Amino acid sequence: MNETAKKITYYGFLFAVCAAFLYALSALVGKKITDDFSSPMVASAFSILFGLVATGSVFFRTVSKEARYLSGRSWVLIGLSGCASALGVSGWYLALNVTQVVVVAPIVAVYPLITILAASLFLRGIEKVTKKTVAGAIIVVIGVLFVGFGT
Amino acid sequence: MIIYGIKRRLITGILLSLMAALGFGLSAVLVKAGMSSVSVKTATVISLISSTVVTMIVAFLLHYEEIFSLSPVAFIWFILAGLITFLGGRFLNFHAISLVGASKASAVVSATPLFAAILAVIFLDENIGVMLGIGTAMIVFGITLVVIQE
Repeated sequence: MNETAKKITYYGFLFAVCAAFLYALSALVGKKITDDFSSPMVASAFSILFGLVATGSVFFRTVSKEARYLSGRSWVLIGLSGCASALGVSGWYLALNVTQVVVVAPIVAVYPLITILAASLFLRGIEKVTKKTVAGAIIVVIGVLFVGFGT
Repeated sequence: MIIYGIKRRLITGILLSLMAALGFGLSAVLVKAGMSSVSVKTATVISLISSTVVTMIVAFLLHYEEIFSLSPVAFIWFILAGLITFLGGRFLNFHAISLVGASKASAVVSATPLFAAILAVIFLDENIGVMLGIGTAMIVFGITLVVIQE
C-alpha cells in the first residue's frame, strides 16, 4: 500500500470511529429527549428534519451545484439509502413498542453482517470483502451483544 | 388466547427488528453504490431528504396528537440531536464509507454501543461489569482485525 492509500484508509477509519462516537453521544441526547419530551419516533423524525435543515444550509453551495448534474441512478440509490436508514430507525422503535429490548437488540445488532453480505453481492466491482473483514465484523457484533446485555 | 396474543406480538417484534437490521445494513451499500459521481456532502443531504419524508410520515401516522402538543423546549433538543447525529454522524459515516468501503465502515460504526456505554459510565455513573469488559475487548479486537488488513 502506498503512502496516499495508507492516508486515505487512516482517515476513513478515523471518520468511522468519530461517527460511532457521535452516534453514541446522540443516544445520550435521545435518552434525555425521550425521558422528558416525546416518544422516540417523534424525536427521530424531528431530529432528522432539523439535521436536514442544518446539513442543507452548511453544504448548500456544493449541493446546488452538483444536484443539477447528478445522474438519475445516483438520485435513486442515495434516496433509497435514506429511506433504508429511516426504515431502520422506524422498525427499531416500532419493534420496541411491541416486544422487549432483549429480542430486538440482538437482531438489529447483526446489521454489519447484512452490509457485508449485500456489499459482496452488489458492490463486486467497487469494493472487496475480505475474510478478515467478515471475521472482524462477526467479533464486533458478538462484542456489541456483550456490551448491550452488560449495560 | 393470551398466549396467541403474546406470540403474535413477539413475531411482529422479530419482523420489525429484521426490517430495522435490513434497513441499517442496506443503507451503507446503497449510498456507496450511488456515491461514485457525487460528493459526500450532496449524498448526505439527498439521503436526509428521503429519510425525513419516511420518518415524518410514520411519526404523523402514529403520533399525530403528540406532535401538536410538543413543548418549545423539545425543539431545542431536537435541533441538538439533529446536529450531532446527521451534520456530524451521518456526514462522517458517509465519508468513511466513501474512503474505506461500506463493509469496513459499517463494522467500525457498529461499535456505537461501546461508546454509548463509555459515555454512560462517565456521565450517568453506570458501573463497568464483566460483560461490558468482555464486550469492549471483543469490539476492539474485531475492529483491529478489520483495520489491519495488510
